[in-house]
Amino acid sequence: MAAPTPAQLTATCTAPKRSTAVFRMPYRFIVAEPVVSCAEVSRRALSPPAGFEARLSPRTRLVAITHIANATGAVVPVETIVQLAHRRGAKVLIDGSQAAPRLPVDVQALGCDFYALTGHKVYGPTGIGALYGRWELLSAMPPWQGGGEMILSVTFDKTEYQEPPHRFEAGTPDISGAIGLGAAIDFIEELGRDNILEHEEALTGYGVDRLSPIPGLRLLDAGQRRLGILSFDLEGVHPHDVAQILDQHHVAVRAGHHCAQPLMECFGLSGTTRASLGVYNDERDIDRLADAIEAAREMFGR
Amino acid sequence: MMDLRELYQDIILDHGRHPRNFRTIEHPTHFAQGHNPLCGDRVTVYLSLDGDRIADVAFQGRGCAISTAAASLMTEVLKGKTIEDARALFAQFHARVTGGEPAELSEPLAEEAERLEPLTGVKAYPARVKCATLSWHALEAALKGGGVGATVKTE
Repeated sequence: MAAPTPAQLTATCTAPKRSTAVFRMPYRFIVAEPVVSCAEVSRRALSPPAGFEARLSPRTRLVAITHIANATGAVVPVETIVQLAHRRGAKVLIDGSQAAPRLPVDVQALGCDFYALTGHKVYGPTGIGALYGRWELLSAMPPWQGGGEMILSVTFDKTEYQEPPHRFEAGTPDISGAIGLGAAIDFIEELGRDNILEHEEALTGYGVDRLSPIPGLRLLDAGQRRLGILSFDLEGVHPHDVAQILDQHHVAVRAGHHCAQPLMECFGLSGTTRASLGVYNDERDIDRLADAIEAAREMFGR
Repeated sequence: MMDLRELYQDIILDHGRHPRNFRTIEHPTHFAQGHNPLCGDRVTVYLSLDGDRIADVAFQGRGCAISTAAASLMTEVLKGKTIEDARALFAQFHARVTGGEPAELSEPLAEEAERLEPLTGVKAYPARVKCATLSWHALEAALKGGGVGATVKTE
């Protein structure tokens, strides 16, 4: 993986398939009405990417997709996505916000053109992230912002820009943020990415086993592989009420639409309650979560 | 931290589960939608005014137990009140849930305001204050906007 750079990310919250973040918002900053094609979401979540391939056309410039979906925990088969997109001449940007802290990521093996991650999800500081891009693509791209450190030379005739990554890092960089992000990545490397994956897989499996039998609880479908995220609906209890009760039991979760409103609509929900797992969690935390959900059911008479 | 049962009192759970006046009014004189984009809660408040008196008030929408119960209790206390009474009740309720200085209300109104007491538990949970006031903001927007159906957002 490329060394972390202080490049800022334009979108921090993403989800798969029909997400407000991936599929529309960033493009609206570039053109008012982007032509964005969204693969349909079925209740079976991410089925083999047949539907995805049909969405590609010779005019497709960029495929932007998450590696692990923040709203469901679905691990997306990005290798296949990259192959299919490249076959049609499109570039691929993978949002690794959820995957970077959980999977051993090898951008060259994935074959992607861009890979983004965010600091606060790799146990690092907020306000910083990293964007990997293939050298030949970055070298061919113009700067998006002017400022110090991105100029090589200026004469009356022409301006030359620094090589990447400097040309994309105009102005005083977020130095302390970059140092913090570097320390966070060291922390992950010391734990060992394979160890983290093993831990998260075991814990996710335990979580599914503990939560699934709870009456009225429905885990959002994550397709063939779920990792690190337990996102659920508790029948008849609003996610914010669930979260309030979990909070009282010292279980911190997020409730809401997770910046994936169109996806929530597909599931027929206004939002879910989402527990995210990390290296510091263990089975006792899952037990506490399950007990707290039972307490919420009891309070709301479900 | 206070006991959760002070936030989720029986009356809240009851109104959250079985909201009163949870319906539309076919030809409302006033209506407005309240939307909290942060949590996705939506409530539409319908009013039927007879002069300056609220002949009927109802609501529809989806939200958490607190916002549903708050809307339900609001419709119960507002029926038969004047617009002026409604505004005074909201001002007083708003002050109580946000920690402001509640104004004195006349005797019959003060009694009605007491019925909203179970909702004031949100004061200890700043993130939930909007849940308790969303329907009231929609009411205010309805009174201002009339029959055109304004939308008010809280964030």
